[in-house]
Amino acid sequence: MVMTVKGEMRPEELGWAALFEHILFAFPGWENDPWVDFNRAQVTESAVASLREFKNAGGGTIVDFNGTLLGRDAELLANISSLADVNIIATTGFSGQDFTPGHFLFPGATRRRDILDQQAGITYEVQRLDADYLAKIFYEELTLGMVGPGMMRTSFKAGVVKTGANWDRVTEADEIAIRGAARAAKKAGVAVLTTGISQAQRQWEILLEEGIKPDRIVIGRCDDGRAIDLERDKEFARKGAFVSYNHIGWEDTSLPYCIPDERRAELVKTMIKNGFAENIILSCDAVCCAISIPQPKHSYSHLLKSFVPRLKKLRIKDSVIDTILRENPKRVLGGK
Amino acid sequence: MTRVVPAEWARVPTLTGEVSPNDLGIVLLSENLMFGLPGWWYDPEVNFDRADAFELIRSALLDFKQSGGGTIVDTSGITLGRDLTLCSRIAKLTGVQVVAATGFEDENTSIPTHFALPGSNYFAPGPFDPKRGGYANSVWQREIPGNFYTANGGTKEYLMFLFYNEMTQGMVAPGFIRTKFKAGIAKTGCGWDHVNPVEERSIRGTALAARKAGLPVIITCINQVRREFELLVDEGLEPDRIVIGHCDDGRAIDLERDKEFARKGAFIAYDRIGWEDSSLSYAISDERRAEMVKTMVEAGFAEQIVLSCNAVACTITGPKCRHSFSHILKSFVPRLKKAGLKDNAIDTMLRENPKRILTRR
Repeated sequence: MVMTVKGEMRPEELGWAALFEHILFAFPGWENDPWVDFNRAQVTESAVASLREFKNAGGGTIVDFNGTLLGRDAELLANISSLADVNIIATTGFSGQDFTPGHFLFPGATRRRDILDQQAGITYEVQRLDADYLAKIFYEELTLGMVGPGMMRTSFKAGVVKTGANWDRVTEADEIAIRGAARAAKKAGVAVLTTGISQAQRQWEILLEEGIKPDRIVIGRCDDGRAIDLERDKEFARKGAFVSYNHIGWEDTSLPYCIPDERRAELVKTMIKNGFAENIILSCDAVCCAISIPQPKHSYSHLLKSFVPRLKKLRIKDSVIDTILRENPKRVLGGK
Repeated sequence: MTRVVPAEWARVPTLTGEVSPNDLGIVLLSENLMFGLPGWWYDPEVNFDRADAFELIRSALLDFKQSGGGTIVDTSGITLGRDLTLCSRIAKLTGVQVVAATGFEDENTSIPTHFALPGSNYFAPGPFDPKRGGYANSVWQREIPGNFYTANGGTKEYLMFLFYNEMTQGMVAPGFIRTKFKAGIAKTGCGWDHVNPVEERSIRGTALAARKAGLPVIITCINQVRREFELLVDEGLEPDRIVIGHCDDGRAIDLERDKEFARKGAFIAYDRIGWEDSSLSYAISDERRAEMVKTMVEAGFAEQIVLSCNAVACTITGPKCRHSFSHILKSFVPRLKKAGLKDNAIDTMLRENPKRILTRR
């Protein structure tokens, strides 16, 4: 079964799925910036409209790839999912040290867990940050409910785990978060989606060390303009992992990670010709409300309305497209 | 050099209203009423109880008041556990004047990504337009009348506006709220090993804002103090508006450095008083601190020294603080007297120097 913000679903019910999308994206700290003009009603309206468009084009499910810290709002997701009638799977996990606030960065730092007011004075119970500490947080997001700011636990559960790393290396804090995510994913039986393609190899090693099966791992951002490497992709696919081309639509080449969709389609075609159709994931990393990053010009339906026709023009068969958009997400999310 | 200053500069902003600098009393210049690294509110393992925090902070402030204290400067800054409504209420109840700070420290602990990355873009999506395949207003940036504003997050000016508005309009609270409480000091800092580009922008922005608002700046990373000082002065801040914090950090004690900065006109803060736990790298014994203070006073720098104990009344992330705000008056001042310091020198350090620092000019 797969956990969506509306509850559990059978993997067969997901339909065409895009695994790397964002409803609302903001970096930690945005809540402290009085210049942010965040209008919930407007975000809801815009997101519902663009998800309906995605649905009309044949889409069934998106994964909101925010993770715990990047502007994820569980209640907003649930509301939007109901209104648009598109399944939304939420993510738990961190994205790399540069995108993680201080509280989760310092391995030795103690955290106040409980205060017991005793007659003799006040007793602190403290915990230290390590992989098990984060695993507990992520696992509870998967099984009890996601947290919102203010240490509130909502009733909406996450359905996948994400991992990430800084661009130049996997830092100590990154490794703790990756191991924590892996332990939570293993215990809850959910898939792991990675980001930070420059450090994909190291993340992969850590995930395998923690006992995650290759067929539950999606290597994200393989079409990042700074790190395109088809040999790497084939190697991951041969080992049974999924490789994800998930920046479709990001064509503004003034940004270093963007490439034209034409080139992406070529990458996908080459992978299919090499027999890896069953290991490919496609998504377009659209953001309805981008707060701390540039606003993309495309929306969720770009994948189905523009990129799929482009693949068809390259003589990719409908059955292959169906495998990539329906069967592969079903297998990785459903675990079969 | 005299500068024409606005009339409201004659008063110091506190969480309980503006006061005359003459009414500040004994001042601790670098304390934390509450301390947590940003992101703790996403951690369900943190069992934060507001009522509990209230009780902890209230008793610590009351204790400080009863020992003779007047004002506490809370240097949490924007992201390290500043809770203005809570602290304002406690300040009112206890009668301790609390001056709050704007600013960041180093990138890892206190500059969350939103403020660190260039290109931050504030956007409200308009209605979805299927024909365009996008949103109306898709790159829409907002100008607020009366607010300084810049859309580009990758500049020192952006951070200057953030800090300046906190000094003149009101400090912010989570949830995009601008409170009515104005900052009375700015703090700034950087990583232990170097000043990275994000921190450089933050330090320069702090200097620009502080100069414009007539407020002082306290530096929190002693290891990079020369670079931080250089950057602040480079943006036009006068040395006598700069407080060098953490000069008694056990990893970087250097009396020659302290004297050099004092000669330039900056203030030297021995503000870790009470942190004696030898398992912490930055802790040293109070005995040694008293020796340092004595040496500085004897060398004629009494008018450049401030004392504080960096106590935390309510700790969310970090080592537990075993002493409280009253530690200075109850324990350290008697120690100084025993070491032979005169009452008027102590009064200068605890009363006159902070007054000169906090007075806007």
